[in-house]
Amino acid sequence: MRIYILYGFGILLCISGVGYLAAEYIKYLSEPGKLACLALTTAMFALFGRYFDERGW
Amino acid sequence: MVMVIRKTKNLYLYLALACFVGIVAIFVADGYFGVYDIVYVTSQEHEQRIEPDYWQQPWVKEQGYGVGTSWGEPVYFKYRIENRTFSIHEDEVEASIWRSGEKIKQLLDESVSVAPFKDATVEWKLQPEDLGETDLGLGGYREYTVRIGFGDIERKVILSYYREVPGYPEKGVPQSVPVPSR
Repeated sequence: MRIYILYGFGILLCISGVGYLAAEYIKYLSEPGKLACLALTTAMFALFGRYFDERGW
Repeated sequence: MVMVIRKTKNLYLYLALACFVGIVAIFVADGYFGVYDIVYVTSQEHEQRIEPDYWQQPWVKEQGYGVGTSWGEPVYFKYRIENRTFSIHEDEVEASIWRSGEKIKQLLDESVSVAPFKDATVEWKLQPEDLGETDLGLGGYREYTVRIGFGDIERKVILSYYREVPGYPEKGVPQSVPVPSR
């Protein structure tokens, strides 16, 4: 059980780190670049969702 | 047959990874394309190169880039524009010297046209007489602002003039003092 808490903590740290870096980097993107990134991020999460759905998660 | 089924099964995973690669590619391409300017300031034989990234720091927008120089010395400026777009970029390059919010002199006003994926350089010299003062005054220190404009871009270079202080006078050999006899 404790190992899963550690995994969860590590995953949270990773997500927050990536989120922070993305927020910092996106400041320097142009407006069309931000829009394209948003579209690709949405598509990426949707495709990941579909993939895991097909795997029976 | 098994291979085709597996490929189809992982199709969404590959597409998601392709989206991730696309996001990274957008960051790289967005950083490369655009119109960039580099300012070179040469004072007292030292050339300083100010990259476009420098101006994106939040505190720089208020303060500008500081350059120290000696009173009476000319300061040389070079402004390089890099056009990394697919169209010709044409605009006015303006440079002026300011002090206490008042414009002292227009140093440059020139129209520049830069071809796609080429660069152009404009040079000018700030002479001591352009400052409109003959002496630094009692403080021996004064600041001026050089504003460089190119379209919507404005760069501020703060020139800090100081007086050359003469070195310490050379000390002579101490004269021998007669040793008091006991």
